[in-house]
Amino acid sequence: MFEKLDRTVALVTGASSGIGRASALRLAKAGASVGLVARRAGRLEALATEIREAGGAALAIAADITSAQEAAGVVARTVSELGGLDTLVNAAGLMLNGPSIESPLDEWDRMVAINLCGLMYVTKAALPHLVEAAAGSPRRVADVVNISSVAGRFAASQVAIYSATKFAVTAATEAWRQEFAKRSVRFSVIEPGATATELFEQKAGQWEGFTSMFGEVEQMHPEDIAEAVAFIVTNPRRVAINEIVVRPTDQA
Amino acid sequence: MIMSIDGKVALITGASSGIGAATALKLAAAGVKVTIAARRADRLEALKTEIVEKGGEALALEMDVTDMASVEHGVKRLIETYGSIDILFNNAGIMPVSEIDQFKTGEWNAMVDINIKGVLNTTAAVLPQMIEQHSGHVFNTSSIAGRKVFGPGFAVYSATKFAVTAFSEGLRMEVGRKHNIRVTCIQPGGVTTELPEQTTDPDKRRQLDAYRSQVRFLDSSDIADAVVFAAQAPAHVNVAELFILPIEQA
Repeated sequence: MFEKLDRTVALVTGASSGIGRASALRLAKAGASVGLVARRAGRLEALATEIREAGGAALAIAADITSAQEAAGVVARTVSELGGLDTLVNAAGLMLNGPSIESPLDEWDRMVAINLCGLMYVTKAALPHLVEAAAGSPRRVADVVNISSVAGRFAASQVAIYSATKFAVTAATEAWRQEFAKRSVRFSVIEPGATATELFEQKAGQWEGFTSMFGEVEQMHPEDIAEAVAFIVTNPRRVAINEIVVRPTDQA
Repeated sequence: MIMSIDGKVALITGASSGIGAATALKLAAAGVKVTIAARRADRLEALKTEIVEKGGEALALEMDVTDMASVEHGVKRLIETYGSIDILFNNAGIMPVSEIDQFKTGEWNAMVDINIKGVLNTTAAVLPQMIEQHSGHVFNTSSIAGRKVFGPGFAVYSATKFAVTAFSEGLRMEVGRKHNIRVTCIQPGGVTTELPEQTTDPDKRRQLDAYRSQVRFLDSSDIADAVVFAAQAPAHVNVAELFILPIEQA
């Protein structure tokens, strides 16, 4: 029923932890060679080793995708060393929520830089290769899976700029989806609710802020989101899963 | 992680054809006892035979989702037969397309009755059992038309599907945390079903057929796979919305 990803190449940003890491492992398990991108080289090398020891192929690329030049370099290295690009998972993300008067402007800039500009730079560099893969590969399809957030669907107090970046990701994904529909590049957005990653730890008090709104919830695991990524990418070519909103069952 | 749904009990409305029938087959293949409900009893019997021949378990219920008594009677029989219900798939729906100034008010009312009230009736009949169990999963079939209004001819259909999406979200907020019941709103684009045949306006029918010749529609079984995917997620994971289109559909 679902397709194997043998002889395909995936590139995953934010691969050093959380949803990116779990997605890289899951795609490797499905047969893809995986380019791993993040700033923390040590984490990437460990993940690459884990994938290779399980019989897969991986390439660790330490880079800062908030630089357009580095982002383009990441895509170029993936294509030259792994032989193409069939699947892009944009999972790198930063969440720094809090009261807007007290929050340093720098925190907002950094969220825009990673969540929006980073995704934009990597995707821009990847597009020609994805179109080529969709036209020339045996599967005749390519995929971009963007990790947005339920905050990309619903804005809330003290989440202004994080929400703004995630609304942007959701909007860009839908526009790209329409633009590339006839060229067999599928664009999907996953909008997860609370997931047990480093996201809440990126700034003190964020989990407390979340639980004050939603109460204690049983968070999802990164592997739960990775399963959605795999479901999207391994669906038959004719099927485009464009959006999945996924929450902990007890998160209203 | 993927959880087994072997042995679970499902009720599927609109099961006589299209997405409902395909989902019944897929769920049954995964070991789910499927109660297939629709108005066309002969179709249900044929589907039940197919499921049983493939080694599955099925109960056919002639049911009109617009008639609360019919729905309550059917759900009662289901509970008597299987003792529980884990999955409700509110899938029955119709799409007779016409422009408002044609005033096909009978078709408008039929859409409201089946697409909206049908969902409410079945949900009302099934929820008490799920609440008592403190578990369950409700799937509602909305549509891409529940996310945007295509253009002339789709006003009332879109209105009913926006309602399904809104109801799904509201229901999810109420029963997820409180009763441990998951709610999934499936939003398909073009799927090969009987929907276009329900359009009586000849011009609109021609437009629908022309579109169908341009874009290769999804198979009903593709949507069924998405339902199975959401149903197999671990209990703490609720796939709230799933938007699924043919690759070429802009």
